[in-house]
Amino acid sequence: MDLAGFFRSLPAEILVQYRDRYEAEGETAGKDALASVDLVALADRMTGLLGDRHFVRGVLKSMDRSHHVALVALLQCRGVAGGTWLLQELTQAHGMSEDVWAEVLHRLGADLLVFGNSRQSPPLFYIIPAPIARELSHHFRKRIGLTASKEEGGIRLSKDTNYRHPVGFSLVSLLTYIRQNRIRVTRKNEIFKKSYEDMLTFFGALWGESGEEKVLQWHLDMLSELGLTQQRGGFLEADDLALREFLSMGPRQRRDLYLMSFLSREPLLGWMLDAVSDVPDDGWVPLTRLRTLYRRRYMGNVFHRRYVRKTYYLPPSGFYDPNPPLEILQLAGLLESGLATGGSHVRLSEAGKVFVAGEGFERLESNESIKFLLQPTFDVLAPVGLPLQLLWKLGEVAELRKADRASTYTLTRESVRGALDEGWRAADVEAFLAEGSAVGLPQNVESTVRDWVGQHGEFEFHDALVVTAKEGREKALLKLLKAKKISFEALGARAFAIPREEREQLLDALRGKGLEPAPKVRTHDLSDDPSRSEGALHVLLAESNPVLGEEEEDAVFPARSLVSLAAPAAEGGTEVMRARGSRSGRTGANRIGADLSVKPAAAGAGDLLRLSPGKTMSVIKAAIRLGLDLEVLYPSTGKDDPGGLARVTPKKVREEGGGSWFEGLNQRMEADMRFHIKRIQGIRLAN
Amino acid sequence: MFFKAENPLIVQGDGTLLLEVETSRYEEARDFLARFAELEKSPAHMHTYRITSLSLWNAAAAGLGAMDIVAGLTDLTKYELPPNVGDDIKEKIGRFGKVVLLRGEDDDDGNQTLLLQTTQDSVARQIAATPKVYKQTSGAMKEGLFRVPLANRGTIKQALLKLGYPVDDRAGFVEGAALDVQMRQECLTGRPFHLRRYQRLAVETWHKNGTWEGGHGVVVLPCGAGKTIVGIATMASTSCQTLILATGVTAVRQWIDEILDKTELTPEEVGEYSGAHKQIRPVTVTTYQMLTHRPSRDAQFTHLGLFTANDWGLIIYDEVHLLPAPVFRVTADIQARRRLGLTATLVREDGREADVFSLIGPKRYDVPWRELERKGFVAEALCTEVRIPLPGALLVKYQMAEKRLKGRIAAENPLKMGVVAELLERHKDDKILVIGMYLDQLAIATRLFGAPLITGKTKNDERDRLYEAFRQGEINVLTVSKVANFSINLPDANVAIQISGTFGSRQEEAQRLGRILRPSGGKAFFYSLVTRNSREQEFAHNRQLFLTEQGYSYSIEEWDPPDEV
Repeated sequence: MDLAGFFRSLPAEILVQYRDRYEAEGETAGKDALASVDLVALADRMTGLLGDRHFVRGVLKSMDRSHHVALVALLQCRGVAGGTWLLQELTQAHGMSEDVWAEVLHRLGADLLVFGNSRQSPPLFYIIPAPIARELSHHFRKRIGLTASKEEGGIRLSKDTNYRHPVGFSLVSLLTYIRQNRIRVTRKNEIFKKSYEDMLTFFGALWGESGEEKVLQWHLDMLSELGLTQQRGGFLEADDLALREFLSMGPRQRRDLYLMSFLSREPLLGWMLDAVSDVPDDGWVPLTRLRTLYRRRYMGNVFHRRYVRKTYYLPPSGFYDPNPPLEILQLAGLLESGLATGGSHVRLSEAGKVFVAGEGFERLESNESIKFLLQPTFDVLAPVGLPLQLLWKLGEVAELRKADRASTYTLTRESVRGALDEGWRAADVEAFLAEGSAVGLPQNVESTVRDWVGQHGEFEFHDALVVTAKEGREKALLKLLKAKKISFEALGARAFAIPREEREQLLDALRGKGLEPAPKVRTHDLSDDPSRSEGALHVLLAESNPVLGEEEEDAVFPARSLVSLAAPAAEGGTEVMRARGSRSGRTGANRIGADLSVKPAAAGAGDLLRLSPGKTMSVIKAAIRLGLDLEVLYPSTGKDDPGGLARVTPKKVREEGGGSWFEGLNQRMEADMRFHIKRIQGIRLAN
Repeated sequence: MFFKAENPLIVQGDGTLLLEVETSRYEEARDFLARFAELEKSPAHMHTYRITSLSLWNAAAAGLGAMDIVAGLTDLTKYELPPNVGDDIKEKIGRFGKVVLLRGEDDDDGNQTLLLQTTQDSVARQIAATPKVYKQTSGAMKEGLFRVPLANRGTIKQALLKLGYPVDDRAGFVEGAALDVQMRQECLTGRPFHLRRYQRLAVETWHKNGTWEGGHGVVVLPCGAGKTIVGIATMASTSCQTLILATGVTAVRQWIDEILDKTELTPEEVGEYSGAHKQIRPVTVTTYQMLTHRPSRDAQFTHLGLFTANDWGLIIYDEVHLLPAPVFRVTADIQARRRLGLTATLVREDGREADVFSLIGPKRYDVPWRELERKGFVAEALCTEVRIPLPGALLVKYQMAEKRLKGRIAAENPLKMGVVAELLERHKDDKILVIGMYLDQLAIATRLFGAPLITGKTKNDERDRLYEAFRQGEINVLTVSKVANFSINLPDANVAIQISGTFGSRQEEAQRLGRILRPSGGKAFFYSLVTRNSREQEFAHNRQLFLTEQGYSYSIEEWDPPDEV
């Protein structure tokens, strides 16, 4: 909605209040006068006034600094915030008392820049309507976002900001390790301690000496989220199908995939990357400022959601972590941290800048000019930046011995024969090594590899599609194959092998001739061509959240439901303000204004929580009362339920025989289920 | 991300340094790395160096600072320098010089003592709190200053190194009995003689004009680069009576020959202390075996007294990587004597590199063999593995044999003789060594090709006569058993044909190859004959790895007999 639309949709009383506030010699705001006002013309005049940046600047200049602070805070919350929380936030961040801030907001209400929500929907939310917010944002643009630190003593790069490899290189190296070393997992999908520690040791040189465990977990989570690994028979294994798709993606697509994975963990990460990248001159950002901004943005989203859904209350429990989830980005090597006398700072790393810009990501991730180095010692050095396809293939042919800036692979008899078993041909191995190596294939290696290959591959299995015809119809099929120039090989009188890629063409041709082919292939398999295997990952990408650079939707509020904080006659109005401003809500548990608990931590969905049974029960009861869904981490219930995180619509809570559970609709299973409270491993309100 | 493709170096997170050879800054980088890192592998395209505590302390002893190293690495690296590597370098280098050993005043009984000094309280506390170190002292004189008995000069350095603090030994040396050693301008054979530049540099770097900073340490030169000459030049620079420890009697005689050939010393001034002769002269050459000889396991070492039998001013340890443990112990007692270690590699099979550092001294000079090869000081070696089939008649026997015997059947493959014949024909103008492990096989080779055989049983005089004949060109092919492994100096040999081998230690391989690296103007050829698809080929793979790691060119030839036997 634009400014004109906003003013035209305002209730007449509020429009007149605008006139009284901003037109120097306006009419008196009496009932008679109101009746005679041309509302459309008035709305247009107000649009002109508040759309005039000079005029708005004048209005803002006449205000106190505290007004600006309150406006900026509310703008940082995307224009909406719960009353109690906002007052606490302003008090904690800028000092003074909640009463004073309530007064400030009240005055901004009198200026018709800040509104309240409907009286019928307590508690109070402070709101800046989106069209007004846009105008104000222009004037406060420097204060709303992040600014570079002015730390004079210099900022020292923190030691925990160790070198980070490009994500793709690291992921493929880990996948190769998983493929070459049997990684056992428990039934709860946890990696056995020994395997876990071996992995930590193995990748220690690459991931730095501090915090490898976090880095490893980050990688494992990423692989799991992207479906690149799966548990099979008690072991963690690379998923060939997803992997093939992953490797066939372009660097830009992969970058979007990574971002999508980040966003699935923390939806605000994209926004945060943008915010940090907008800092001029690649400057450092004080962590405290980033925290404040993140907190407000996060809470703004929560309040926005609640305002739109009219679910104003939340149960008083700790769902909210006020710290920005920097670790995910730091572990990805996109953010680096620095220390100064004034505290911690962060900024985008070089890799982070490329990641955000998108330009040049291919050089970072998969540099076509880089080749591996095959030495006469049978060692192969694979430097960071090696195209991922090449890196993965290398892991199929050679043993990964060391992961580092240049990973070391070694060709052994076992590794080469293993590759042959996986479908490589002897000639393919030689060609791959000769072409992929920056220095060619040393004579001694070539000779030895030939020796290792021996007689392998004299008999081969081929992957093709076999088309058969019923007796008597083979000639029709043969004729069609020839007519359509589909390459084929006769395997018998009525059986022909064709490339999988030609299936659709043949199917169409058969249908075109009025024949009736069975559309399904009897034994399911996949195409050899990775570029054709656009499967789950592409779907994930397509369904992903908006990526960087896409404009985020404004906070749009129904203008008719806005309540002027200044006008006692209007809904909510001053009396609501008074109730909030005096903090009288503190004494009555559920009176107007008790939208949040006293703790700011009670503000919304966040990390999955493992709560005591008592608290879990109260969350579930609150969700039932408010009609909210829950996300519940629950072990497998047998049958076809693999367990894990599920969205559940809770229906009722039962306590019987010393046990307690709740019943609800498991949306993933599309079935009503009973959840024992004690078996719940984590719970949170669904967004 | 930080990436400079044109730079030649990759600094790995574990402190390994990968140096790309085919880049414009290779030589600059190589010379820089040689100062503080150990060359671990040098295959054709990418050399591997490793930064170790010892290599850093060697660098620190040579005056290189941590900041210089970090700045140099940052300048040369392709990727960002891993922070932990930089921190590690600073921390390790920072430890050098924290503990200094100085000459002290004589004690009340007139015995000379040493002072161990540290300016860091934390180090002093660590010394006082570590019994193995503290018991080497006579107690603390004041904060950070300990008195050390003269006899414990070596052992306290060993103990402190284990604690992580290399001692900067500034206590100086005794001069020893004087001996005027003059180098000849012309050898006895009439050939002109002068030190090569790198040999002179090695001596100067070790000697440091006779100051306390020099006079001890190790010079690392590849096989064939003239380590003996460096030892002799060191004697000349120190002008004192010298004890030389070598690896065997043959090496002892070679040393004596070289000394007489290159210096003005007379035979009366140079003695051999071996099983055959017990001469103690101003320059005495003996073997490690001699020094560690004892009649029974519980008895005392009979000949260790040689160390104190004369007022030696210099002790030279040839092939210092082979120094046996008892000699280490004695060396700890004679720290006041100047010491020179000579070796082709600091890597010891027993991992006692730290003792070499503590007791002989830090590495003083090192020159990569590639550099010497480029300048023609050592021959370019071409290694070839010739794979030969096992005759049909032996195949069944091989398959049925126990694992232990399989190796021997493969090693004694009769078809190898055909290959030897071809190679002898191919190199008919060269000096060839046929090296083998099994005497029966060697005897067959001798019979077939008329090449004299030298084994462990061959008397020394007969050996020397054959060597001389080989040198003079009267014989072009010699068949030798594993006696060829150590220090027989055959200057003109440029082809080695290994018909069977133990494929044992890395040392053995290096020594065998070293026999043909002495430059004679052309290339050196090292052939290994291996039975195809046998255990011998599996062993040969290990050798292939070792030699290619060392940077030697290695190729494989498949050989098939004209007609199947």
